[in-house]
Amino acid sequence: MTTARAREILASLRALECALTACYPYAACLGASTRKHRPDWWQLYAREAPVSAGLPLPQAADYAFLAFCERTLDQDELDAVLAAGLASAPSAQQVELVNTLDWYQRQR
Amino acid sequence: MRRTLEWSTHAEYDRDRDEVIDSRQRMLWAARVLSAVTPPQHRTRLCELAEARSAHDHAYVQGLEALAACGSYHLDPELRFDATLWRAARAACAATSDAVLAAQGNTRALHLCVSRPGSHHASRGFALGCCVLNNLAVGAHAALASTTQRVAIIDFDAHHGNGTQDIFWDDPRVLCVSLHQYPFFPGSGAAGERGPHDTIANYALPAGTDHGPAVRAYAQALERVHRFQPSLILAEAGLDAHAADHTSDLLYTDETFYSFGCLTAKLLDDLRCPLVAELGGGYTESALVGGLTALLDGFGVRS
Repeated sequence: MTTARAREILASLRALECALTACYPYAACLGASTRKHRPDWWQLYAREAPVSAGLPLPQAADYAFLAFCERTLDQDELDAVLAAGLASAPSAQQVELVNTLDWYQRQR
Repeated sequence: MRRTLEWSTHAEYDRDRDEVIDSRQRMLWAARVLSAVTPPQHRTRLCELAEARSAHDHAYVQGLEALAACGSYHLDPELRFDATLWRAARAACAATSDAVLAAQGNTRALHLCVSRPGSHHASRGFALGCCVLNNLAVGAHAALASTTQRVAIIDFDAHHGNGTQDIFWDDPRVLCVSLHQYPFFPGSGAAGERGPHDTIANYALPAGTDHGPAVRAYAQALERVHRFQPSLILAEAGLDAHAADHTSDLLYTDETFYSFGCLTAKLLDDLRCPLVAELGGGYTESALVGGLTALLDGFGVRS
C-alpha cells in the first residue's frame, strides 16, 4: 500500500465520520507508529494525560494516544503521519484498513 | 468409533457491559444444545500467569495483569479491558488447558469448551477482536510440555485465527490450518502465509462461498492434518460462517457443519486422536443452534 492510497482511504473514513479509534481494530498499532514518528506529540500527550500515557500495557497506552491525537490534533497533519505508518505496516493491517472502509461504506 | 461428548463452561463470562455481541446470550444458546446431550463440567480455576506465558510474551502477560488493576481501558475499538474481563479470560484459558490435559492420550475424547471471551485472535503480544489470551495455544503448549509430540489446530471460524498462527508460526510441532473468509477481519490469512516449516495452511475463501466449495476445502484441510500425523487435535469451532449469521459473508448451512463433523470424526478415527474444541463465533440463534446441532450430529454424539 502506498502512502497516497493510505491517505485516500483515511480521507474516505473521515468523510464517513469514522474515527480510527472507533472503527479500526489495529488502532493501537497506529498509535505506536505515531509515537515513534512524532515523539513531540507523545510528549504533549504524556503531559496532558499522564495516567493513560503511563499505562503498564503499551497497547492500551498507544490506543489512548491515538484517541488523544484524533481529538486534539489537526486532522490533515495527523493523517499524513498515519498514512506513512500504514504504508510500512504489516500486510494484515493494510488489508484490514481496506476491509474497514468497505464495511462502513456498506453500512451507509 | 463411538465417542462420548464432554463439555465444559465457566461462570466468568457473565458480563452485561458494552460488548457489541451479547456473550451471555450466546453461551445460553450453546448450553441449551449441549445440555440436551450431557450436563456440563463447571470450571472455576483461573490460569496461572506462567501458563499464559507459555504462549504469550512475558511483558504482555505482566502488562495485562498490571492493567487489570488500573481500571477500564480500550485495547481496540471493541475490547474494553478491566479486571472482570481479565478474570474471564484466565478462567476460559484454564478451562481449555485443563480439558486438553484431560483428553491427552484418550483416543476417544471429544471435548467442547464453551467459554468467553474468545481467544484465537490473541497473538503473542497483542489483544484483538475481544480475544486477550489464546486458549488453544496455551492448551497446546501444556500438551507439548507433557507427552504429546505433535498437535494440529483446525480453525473453521469465519475469521482467520491470526493469533494462533502468530504463536505457532515457527514451531514445527504444531500444524495450524484455518478455513476462513478472505479478505476479511483480521486482515491476515492469505493462502501464501505458510510459515518457515510449512506448518501453516490457510484456506482463504472468498465472500459468498457456500456449502460445496466449503466442504471440499475442509476435506483438503483435513488431508493436510492427516499427513501431519498429530497425536492431539484442537479446534476453533466457529459457527459464524453460517448463512444465517450477519457477521460474515460466507454462506454455510447446517448441512455444511454436519459434513465438517462427519469428516472430522473420520479423521479422529483414522488417527486415533482426541479432539478438544472451543466454541468460536456464531452470533445469531439460528446460526449457533443450527450449526452446533448439525456439527454434533456429524460427530455422531447426539443420535
